[in-house]
Amino acid sequence: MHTQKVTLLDGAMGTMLQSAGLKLGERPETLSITAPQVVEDIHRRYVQAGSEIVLANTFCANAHKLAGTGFSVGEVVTASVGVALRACEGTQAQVALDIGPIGELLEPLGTLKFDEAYALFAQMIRAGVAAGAQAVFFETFSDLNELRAGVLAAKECCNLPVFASMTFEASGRTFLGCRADAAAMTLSGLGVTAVGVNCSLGPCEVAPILRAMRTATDLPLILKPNAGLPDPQTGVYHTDPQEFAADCRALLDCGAVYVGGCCGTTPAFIEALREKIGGKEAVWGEKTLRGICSAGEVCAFGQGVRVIGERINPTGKKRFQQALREGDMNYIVAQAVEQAEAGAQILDVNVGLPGINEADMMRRVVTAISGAVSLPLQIDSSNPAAIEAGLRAAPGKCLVNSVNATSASLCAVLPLVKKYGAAVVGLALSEGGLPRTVEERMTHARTIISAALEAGIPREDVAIDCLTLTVSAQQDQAAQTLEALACVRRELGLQTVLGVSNISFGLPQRLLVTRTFLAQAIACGLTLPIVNPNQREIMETIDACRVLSGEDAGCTAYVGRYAPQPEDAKKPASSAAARSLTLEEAIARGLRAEAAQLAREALAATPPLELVEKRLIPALDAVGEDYEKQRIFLPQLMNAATASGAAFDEVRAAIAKTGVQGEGKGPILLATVEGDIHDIGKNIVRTVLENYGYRVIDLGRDVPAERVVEQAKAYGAKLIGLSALMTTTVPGMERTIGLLHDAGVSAPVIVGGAVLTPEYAKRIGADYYAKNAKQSADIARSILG
Amino acid sequence: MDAELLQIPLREVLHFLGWRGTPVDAPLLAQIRDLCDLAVREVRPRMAERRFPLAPDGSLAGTSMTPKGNDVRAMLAPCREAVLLAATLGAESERLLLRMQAKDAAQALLLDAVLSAAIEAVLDAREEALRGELAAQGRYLTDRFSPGYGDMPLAQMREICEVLGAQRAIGLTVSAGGVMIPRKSVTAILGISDVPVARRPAGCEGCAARETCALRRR
Repeated sequence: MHTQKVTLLDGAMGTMLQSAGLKLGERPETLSITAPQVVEDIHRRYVQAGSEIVLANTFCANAHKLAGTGFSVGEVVTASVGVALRACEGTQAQVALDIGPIGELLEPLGTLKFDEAYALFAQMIRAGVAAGAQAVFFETFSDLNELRAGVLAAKECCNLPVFASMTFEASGRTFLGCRADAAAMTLSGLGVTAVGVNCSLGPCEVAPILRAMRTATDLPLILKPNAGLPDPQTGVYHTDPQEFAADCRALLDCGAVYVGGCCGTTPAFIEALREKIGGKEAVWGEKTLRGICSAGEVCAFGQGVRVIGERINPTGKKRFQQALREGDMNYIVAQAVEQAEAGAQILDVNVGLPGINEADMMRRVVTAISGAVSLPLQIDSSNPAAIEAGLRAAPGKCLVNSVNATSASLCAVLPLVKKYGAAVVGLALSEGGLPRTVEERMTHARTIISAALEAGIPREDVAIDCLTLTVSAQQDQAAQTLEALACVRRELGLQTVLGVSNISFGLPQRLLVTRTFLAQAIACGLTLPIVNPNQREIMETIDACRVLSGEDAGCTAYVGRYAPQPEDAKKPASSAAARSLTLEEAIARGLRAEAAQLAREALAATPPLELVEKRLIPALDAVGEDYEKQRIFLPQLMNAATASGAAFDEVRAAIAKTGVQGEGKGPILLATVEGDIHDIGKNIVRTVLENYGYRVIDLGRDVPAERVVEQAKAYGAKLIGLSALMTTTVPGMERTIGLLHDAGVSAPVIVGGAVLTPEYAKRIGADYYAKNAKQSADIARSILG
Repeated sequence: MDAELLQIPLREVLHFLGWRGTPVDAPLLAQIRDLCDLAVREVRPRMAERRFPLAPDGSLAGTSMTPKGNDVRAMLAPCREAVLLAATLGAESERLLLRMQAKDAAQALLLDAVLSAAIEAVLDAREEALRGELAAQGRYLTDRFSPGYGDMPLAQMREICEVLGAQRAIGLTVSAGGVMIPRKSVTAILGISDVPVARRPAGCEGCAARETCALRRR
């Protein structure tokens, strides 16, 4: 049981400034310079009411929000902290630097880079420390990663206590989908003083959210809710301070230690809090939720089997290697989505490939995945720089794969795990090479857990991998692995990880051996199997194991999944349908599965390139002509291109089998320019170009001009396509073209986008303007053949 | 606050896809309907709204904002009050788009249009409700005008967001490049008048961009 005396925070600043005449839409922070007395009075009234920590008037004093005000971050922060310190003079009250969101969304949903956010926060924090702030208080965050950037900046730039608070909707999630328990789990790991909830709603509505946080942390909690719910029309709050304080008092039993108010609260609310809870003790019990998380999902350990998907890994996968080399995030994200839909609960991310910058790639891949899939990640690398890059970028608490029992590994990896509050997989392996016996494995496991504990990593955050060796080569080892697994569970009580697939290497019917071993391992206590969740039989084995272990209580999930359906009529009889279709028809009608099957069949008799030249491209041409003549419209063209893409995948697979490198014509570089995230048009162009057999390097969206130039040179691009949708982002296009010309890149540039015209395209120096994807393909053909 | 999204009109989706009346096959319609269902199920529309008296100088009283441009000023001329609206389909819509893009580019194109139609439907529903509320009081609502319409500067969407506290209220942000994120978001201003107001003709004829707009209705 924990106890701590309540510390009273202050109430709203904005509400008070508005009643003193601040207009909506104006920057309240500059008043610390232009009307310091008004701000000081507000602070003083809060201190007199009982506030023990007041938040300086610095909520939006970041360089982006202050742009155009005529004041610098240093000026505003210094003035604001100074005003607050003056108001606290002669009292015990302390001043915290108040930091709110920057006002722009971070990647991957937005355009602000994690490092830019970090730098903006660091600038405020340095100024705040210099001005004499006694704590750093982050509040009103919706994006866990933005808050992580801030907390990391605070931890790395100063030694002050750090408070981290987020704003939630009644659903218990933030606007960006962050769960309260995930926030608490993640932020606790970063070493903050307290975590909690501010703004959001009134104290009653906040109660369940705060209680959700309580399950996932042992830290004291922050409670700083609004004065109830505002009138939707006028924005005025009507809650009575006494009622507010009484509702807050009800949360002392879940460890609400730092208590104050947000929107609509005034000194009267703080006074009411002082009367009701001043000097009282908050109490709370141990957390009950352990495991790892993303912002949107918690993967609880100790409650059964948790499936780690292994597919994001280039080992032995030519197509994945190509995607990494070309930075094709779309392909990698697709692997993540597929595994998530197949039932993976954690995604392993391994991007190690000779010749690529692994740390930079890890950062990019982790960021891209987290936009589309909200599963917790396992950062898989032997390179500490790549591990750190992954841990920094990932919104949540990750699992690190892996550390081993050598002192070099322990020294390099464990400090990173501790710093980012991650969990870690310990590989039962040391200098002597692969272990042979159960006892060797246990010795290494003990070395790892004691080093982890010494590094400050709690026991619950360590999992042991007892190593799967190939049974066809070392047949005695399967039994050793299984027994070691059981020992780790029984004697050390740790979570266990195992890469299962390796067991069957070199054997026919691999899946049979793999899934049998998987079932045995789960029976011995394997909790975190690393598998290919796209293999139906693997997931079926896990489903069955969950029934047998009791994890699937009442067999509910199993029955839900496997009970016979009244009719399985929905499944299209794809082969029967395909038999009456030609490949050309399947493409024209956008039938993906049928086009793939027909291509597969045709490839038995036709060489791959001939199939492309004689059938796929003519089929696409016919569709393109229908589109130009306005007999069909864009979605029909795209459906056809996607079906043709499915056929193309079969061609690529056939080419890969022959070992001949089919490079395709090009390459063509595509990018949506810096500042713009509207990439639907660019993606359409890519799909169509790829289906005409061109090799396309897609740099993605919001691509800096410098990167376009660098990549154009690196790939020797023959043609460059740029897109921008907004009038505000077209200048980014002009800048990119200018930079390409300055750098001597001679490849012609095609531009496209809703607001562009042929005249404007010419004016900004583009060689071609394409109205749509079909025109882009025509231009490519005129240049590249 | 949460906003309502009950139905996404198919016709509007086709409009955003650049449909010009060619035959639409049944599988494509089914694809669009499925995506409409997905959007209604997964997306959480939110809206911020506030009314302000119009000051004699044309500004919204109690705020730092003055609607700019001849078109919006003409629209507000007979009004004594204005309503600011900001609505978004939320981060859920962005994630949905990213996920679909990774899976199937053609489906992503359709979903993009479905979500564009959805955010318009959210605004339309609120506008209609507001018009009804005002009519009951014998008052009138002007058209809905968004930054970027006519000669109203696009940059004023940032001001509307600031005045409404849109980030805190509904999670809507404007990037340094002037892009609203989540993308499927709209800001708008409407006037409230005690006398009947002239409405713009429905469709594209009243729009300054009618000559170049790819979405022009024909």
